[in-house]
Amino acid sequence: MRTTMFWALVLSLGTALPGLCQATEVIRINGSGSALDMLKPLAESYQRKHRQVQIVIEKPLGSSGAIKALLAGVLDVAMSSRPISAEEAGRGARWQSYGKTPLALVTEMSAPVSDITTQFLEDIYAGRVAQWKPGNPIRLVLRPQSDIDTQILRSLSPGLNQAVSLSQGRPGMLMAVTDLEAMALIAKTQGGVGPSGLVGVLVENLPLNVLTLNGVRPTTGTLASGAYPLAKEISVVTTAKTPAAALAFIDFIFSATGRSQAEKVGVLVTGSPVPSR
Amino acid sequence: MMKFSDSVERLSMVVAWGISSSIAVLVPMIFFLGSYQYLRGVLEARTELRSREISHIIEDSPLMWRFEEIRLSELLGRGLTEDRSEAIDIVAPDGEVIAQNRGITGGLQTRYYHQIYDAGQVVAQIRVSYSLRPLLLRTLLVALGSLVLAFLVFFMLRTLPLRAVNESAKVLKESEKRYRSLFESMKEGLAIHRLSPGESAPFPTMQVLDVNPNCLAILQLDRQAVLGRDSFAIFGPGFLEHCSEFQRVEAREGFATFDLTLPGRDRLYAVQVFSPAKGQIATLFEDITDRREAENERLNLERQLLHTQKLESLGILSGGIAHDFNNLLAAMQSYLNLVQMKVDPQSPAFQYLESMERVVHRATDLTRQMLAYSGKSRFVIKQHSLNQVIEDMNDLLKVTIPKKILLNLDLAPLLPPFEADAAQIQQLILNLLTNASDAIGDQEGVIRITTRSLRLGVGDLAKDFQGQALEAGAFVALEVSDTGCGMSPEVQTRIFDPFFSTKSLGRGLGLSAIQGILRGHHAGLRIDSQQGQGTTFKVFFRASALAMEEKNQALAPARQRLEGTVLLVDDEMMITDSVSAMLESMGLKVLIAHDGRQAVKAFQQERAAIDLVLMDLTMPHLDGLEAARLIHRLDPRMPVILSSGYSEHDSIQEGTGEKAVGFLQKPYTLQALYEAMRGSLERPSP
Ligand SMILES: Nc1ncnc2c1ncn2[C@@H]1O[C@H](COP(=O)(O)OP(=O)(O)OP(=O)(O)O)[C@@H](O)[C@H]1O
Ligand SMILES: [Mg+2]
Repeated sequence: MRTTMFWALVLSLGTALPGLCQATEVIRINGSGSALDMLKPLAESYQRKHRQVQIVIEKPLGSSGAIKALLAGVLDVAMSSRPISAEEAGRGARWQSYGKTPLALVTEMSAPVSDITTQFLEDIYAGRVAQWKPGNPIRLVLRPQSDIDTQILRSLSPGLNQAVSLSQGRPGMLMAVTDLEAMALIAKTQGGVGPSGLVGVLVENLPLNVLTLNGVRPTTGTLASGAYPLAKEISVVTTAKTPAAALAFIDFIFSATGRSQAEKVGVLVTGSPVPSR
Repeated sequence: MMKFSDSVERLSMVVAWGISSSIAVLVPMIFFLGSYQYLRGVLEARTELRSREISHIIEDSPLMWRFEEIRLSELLGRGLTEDRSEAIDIVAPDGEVIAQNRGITGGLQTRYYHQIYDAGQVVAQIRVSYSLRPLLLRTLLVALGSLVLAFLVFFMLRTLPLRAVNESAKVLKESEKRYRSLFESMKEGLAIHRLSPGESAPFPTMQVLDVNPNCLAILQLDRQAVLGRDSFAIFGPGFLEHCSEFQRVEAREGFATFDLTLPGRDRLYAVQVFSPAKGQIATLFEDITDRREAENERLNLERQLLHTQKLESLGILSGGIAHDFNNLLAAMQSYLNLVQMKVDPQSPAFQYLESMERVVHRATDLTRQMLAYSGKSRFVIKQHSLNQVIEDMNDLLKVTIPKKILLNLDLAPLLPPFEADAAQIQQLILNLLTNASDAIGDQEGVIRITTRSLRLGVGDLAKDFQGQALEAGAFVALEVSDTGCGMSPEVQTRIFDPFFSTKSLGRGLGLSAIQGILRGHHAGLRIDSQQGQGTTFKVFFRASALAMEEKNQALAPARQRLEGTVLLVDDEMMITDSVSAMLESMGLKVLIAHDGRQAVKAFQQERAAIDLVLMDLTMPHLDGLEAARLIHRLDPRMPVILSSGYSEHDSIQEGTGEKAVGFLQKPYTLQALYEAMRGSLERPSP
């Protein structure tokens, strides 16, 4: 995972390097893992067009950390998977919705499963089943209690809400803090299963098996039609101090080109084509 | 005693307090401190682990780590679901709180701060505060528990040993009481002394530690006068003599006993010595005066009994000899008298015959003494007046006593009669008189014979006549006193032994005979004698209740020829021969039988011819008495004269009813035989 991060960094630095010669403009962006995954291809194509712009995307801090860093002036833009709080707004945070991506349930490739029902999911989280089938253990990868993915899962059914609480109290569970870490952990763990934003699966290209939930495949289409119930919001947070270059980049992702690129990596863009200021 | 149980109580109180209060205080304290240490350790280890992880996060993104909110709070929240007492803050050096996890804190808490470094720079601090409330609550519970435990321990330590101590103290007290009451009520005197080796060896010193009331009574002292005093001073020199025994006993070598008389007291004590404890001597005093006296008395009685038995066997022996001698003497006497009748009184042979008769008399006298001593010579018991008996002897007495000696008779008038054998009483008086005159010897002197009547009470008998088997009542007393040499106490103890004599020619039978006679008459005797002063023998005869029957003594008439036939019965040929000769010399016809059976047979056949029966008392087949009874059955008026020198029988009642029975003491002179014959032959035809 770190190596991936490292290469991402080198890549971005490498692409940014030629621009340094002519008054390079650095845009520092961080936020929720899924949103950053969506942003990566967009940032690449934007930097190719604007050579003097360098978009720095570090290891994801998560929505809250990124907003905090933004307000602290360490970031220019924060990508959030939740709306901002009144306090954050009071301190100058500006929020606009961008879209949403399905929260898919993924497994490690060898897991003998392609669909999962809500009931079965509940059983897994409650610890009532421990095997996909005899000889194939289920290894659930949890996300932190406060993570948005956990909260989205809870909303699926009251039974799952309870089951998630039980899983949090169980000792010795596998735990991944960020989206990227979660995907990597699931991919390398035999029989691994867990939630992950679809966009991450598509962008990171890890060996993961995306399950249908109660027979419904997680796509932007099923999400748009309302057939797929689990969605992860993607929004943009800025402040008054956000530099023009960053705002220009935001304009780009809201543009038709940006939108189509985002749709390609599994994001259902719902925001208006022109960002509010 | 009480002091001991008090101090045990105080000690057990202190120990109980000490142990239980340390349980109450130390147990919760140790629990708290131990738990606190453990808690601190856990906190430090946990914080150390967290800080390491945070360091990794910082290494990964040294710029952005502060904003890794989810990661940090996940880290801080790890493991806190079960322990809500911990509050953790990650604080930046500028004081900003980077991340926090708030458990329930407040109140008393323990804090732990841990710096987080990045390349030597402090980049943050982990502040952990941990609420001590749960620990305090647990400590409180432990404190309550240990308080209960402490109370139980206190109760146990207080009551159990105390109960045991009280119990044993009670037992001790009871046994002390028991021994004290034994000590105080025992009839022996008990004294306990401390024995310490004297400063000036070899004599130890002894000090009175305790005495029981009886010991005080023995000493006739009170407690104060005895306790702590020198034992030798109190118990006298007799005590000091046994000094070495005390030392030996004290050295645990058994016990000792000795007899002791206390100074100024005529009681005798058996003392037992033992050692009740090291350095102590106990002496037990038992009054054995009475026991010793009784023992002496018993010894005396035993000696007397032995003496009596000796006398008895001597009596049987001498009686047997006397009996045979009497027969011999009787025959000698008869033949002698017969010879005298044949010999011309003018011839010189007659004088020799008379000398010979005197020798026979003396031999007769000797056998009589022996018989008297045997106590078997008491044949004819009659009522007598003591004065009369003495007066009858008057001529004899005068002959017996040398001229130099004055004989005084002091006879009380109107004496009550007494029952006795007159011949024996005369023998008794004669013996006393000869002894008295022997005591005076060649000197001038006075012998006084006194008679009087008196009453002897039980007290007198117990005092003056011990061992003489007398009964209280009226007595007739005969006193023979002389102004002779008197007797030493040593002599007095032996004078009744047969053959004891201080005289060169003495036979030593006089007093022995008197003793036999007195025994036969159940009479008493007292002797008062002082060496060089004289002697008084007092003889006491039981006074008779019967009135005195006065008998006029006829003077011996001249010898006449008698007529009649006599049946002479004797088993000794010697006697039948000599006596039949004497009887024939009197003009009487004689029929002879050799035992009682023959006599009765002969009497049956010759009844008409026989006028008198002269019969020996002791014979084979049928003795004299039996034969006399059978003869009297045939003829109640037939005069029978019994004759003997010795008899198994106590007495023969003379002239009971119509039956005429006379007695003739063997050996008898011709004159005595003549008078007996004449008296009896005349009686039926008055
Ligand atoms: N009246 C008395 N005064 C002093 N001593 C006496 C008197 N009567 C008796 N005795 C002592 O008692 C002793 C014994 O007396 P007992 O009459 O039995 O024997 P005896 O006079 O010596 O000899 P016998 O047989 O000839 O009488 C005498 O030897 C004499 O020492
Ligand atoms: Mg004499």
